[in-house]
Amino acid sequence: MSEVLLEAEDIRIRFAKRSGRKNQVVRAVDGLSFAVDPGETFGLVGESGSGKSTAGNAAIGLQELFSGTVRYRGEPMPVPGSARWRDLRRQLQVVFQDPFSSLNPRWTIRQALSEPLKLHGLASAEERDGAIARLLEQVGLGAELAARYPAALSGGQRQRVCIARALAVQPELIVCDEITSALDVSTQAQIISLLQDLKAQTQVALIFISHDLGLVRGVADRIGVMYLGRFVETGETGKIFARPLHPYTIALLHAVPVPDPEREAARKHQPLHGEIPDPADPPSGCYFRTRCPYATDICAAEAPAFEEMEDGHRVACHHVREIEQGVRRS
Amino acid sequence: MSFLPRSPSAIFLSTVGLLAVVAAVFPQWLTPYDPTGIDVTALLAAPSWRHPFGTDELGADVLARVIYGVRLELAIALGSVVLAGVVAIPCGLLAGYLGGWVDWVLTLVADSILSFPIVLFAVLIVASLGASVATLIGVLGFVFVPRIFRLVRGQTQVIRATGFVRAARAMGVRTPTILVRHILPNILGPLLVIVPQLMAIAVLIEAGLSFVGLGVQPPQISWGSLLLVSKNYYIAAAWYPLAVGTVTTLAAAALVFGGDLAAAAVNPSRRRV
Ligand SMILES: Nc1ncnc2c1ncn2[C@@H]1O[C@H](COP(=O)(O)OP(=O)(O)OP(=O)(O)O)[C@@H](O)[C@H]1O
Ligand SMILES: [Mg+2]
Repeated sequence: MSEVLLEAEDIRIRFAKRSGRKNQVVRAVDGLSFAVDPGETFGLVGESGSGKSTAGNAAIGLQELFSGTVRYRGEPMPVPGSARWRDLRRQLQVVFQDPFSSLNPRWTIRQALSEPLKLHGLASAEERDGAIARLLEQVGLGAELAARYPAALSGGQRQRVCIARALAVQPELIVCDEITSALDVSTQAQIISLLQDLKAQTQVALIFISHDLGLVRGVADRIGVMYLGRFVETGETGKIFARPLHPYTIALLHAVPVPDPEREAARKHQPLHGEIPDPADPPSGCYFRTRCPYATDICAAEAPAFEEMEDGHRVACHHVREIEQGVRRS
Repeated sequence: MSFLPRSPSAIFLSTVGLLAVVAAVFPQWLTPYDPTGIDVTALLAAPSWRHPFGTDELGADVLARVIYGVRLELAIALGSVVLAGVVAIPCGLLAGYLGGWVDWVLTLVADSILSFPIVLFAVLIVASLGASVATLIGVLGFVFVPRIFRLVRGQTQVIRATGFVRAARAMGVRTPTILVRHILPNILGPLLVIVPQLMAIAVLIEAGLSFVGLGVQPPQISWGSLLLVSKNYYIAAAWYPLAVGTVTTLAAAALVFGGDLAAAAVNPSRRRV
């Protein structure tokens, strides 16, 4: 299983945006490359508007690319709607953020879970109820829920049903797009632990999208930190948390509370100042420079290279050496 | 079970609807008179206990004629709305779901129809096809197409972006299935709400067009054709056109009112599922 499952190579995605009388181009994804191995969880982190959802959709062939390629098991993503593309729907699944609109309000849970089973011929009519019960059990729900409508379920229960619906086709990869952000904290933790169990049981790979680094830490094997459609830092989760090198990652990490209240109180906070720039009109050079405490003239002049610092740990920052030293000293 | 009337609006609508259906199918249950019965002893008789709306120029009971007119009225109103729906719902679903040039073209066509004056259009069609019930249904249906189209298109655009539609697409569900099984059932509420509103418009336009001779032709009985005949007697028997006109207006008002009630019932956080 050393083969790469999914590979995105320098993908770019643009949207037309009209603001007032001007027609602008939003570079939602602006040159991303990443790979996901079978069974691996890749975390995509960044603020709202950084292009995480767009990148996630593109990874599973739900979003047309402006340029670049997405390869699934070495083959380029087929054209949406084609027979090949339709076959791939069994391998690549997605769960969305809002559990309240993710289930058809007029369908029972049984109907919702039957759809993928019927569509891909995965269970005969007699086997279907059993398969649905097993799916519900797999996500920690009782089989009696099958007869209910979504309105009778809590947010957490609905999100579990959505996960079950994605699992129904036994996919190789599920994009989880902010699947916990509409839920309260304790439900979030339950969903995260469910994902951890599923990873262990099913060998499914995940692209876990979140704006919350703390949450990503719990599930992701590797992390890509996005800012305005680009990666600023990628690497193994452990390494990024142990030694974040990009000023943006450092700022995001500072926003994650430490569980120990004494240590939390003693921490020096380095909050992010200002707003994320308009993606239709990004700054010159390094996109992060307008909010970066290390920014100098070179940051405005040219975009930093995406440098490999150590095995798999890449950072796009002109001042990464200074930061590295600083981090070592403290 | 959710179809049983519970709210006042549902009770009102179903009462009006039931009355209309009975009048259309079993008008003899509602009046003892023959709408075409001639009574030379009571020509243009004034309203009385026996003839609440009086009698017409041939002595027939006007109330009976109004009641027998419901059949054609209902056929025209429902027929035109169904005709429009058959065309507009698929177009609205496609335009709203696919977007792009499909949406552009269909919306352009719909807007062109909307901007065309109804009466002028009716004159053109009737002049070339002749005045008949079928022509009237065709004209009304055509006029209703853009109204239903816009509603369906707008609702489809909203639902297209929801998670369950995106999930279905990600799962590989084909577009026609998504439109029919996921989107259509979820826009049925707003769609049903505009039906009484369109029917009210149909009743009024029928009356107007028939009145000027472009719609239902006497001796066929519709409220418009009754109006057309009755206006000849507005001096000798003012209550005659007045009665027909009042019924027409009240029926349209009831439909509009019913539509508003239904809209209020459907709109806010109704979702009782
Ligand atoms: N269909 C679209 N049409 C036009 N612009 C879009 C579209 N989808 C996304 N965008 C724009 O692309 C940028 C990236 O959006 P995206 O939803 O991928 O960000 P995100 O990181 O997922 O943010 P969030 O946390 O808010 O979900 C945003 O500026 C957004 O406005
Ligand atoms: Mg998003």
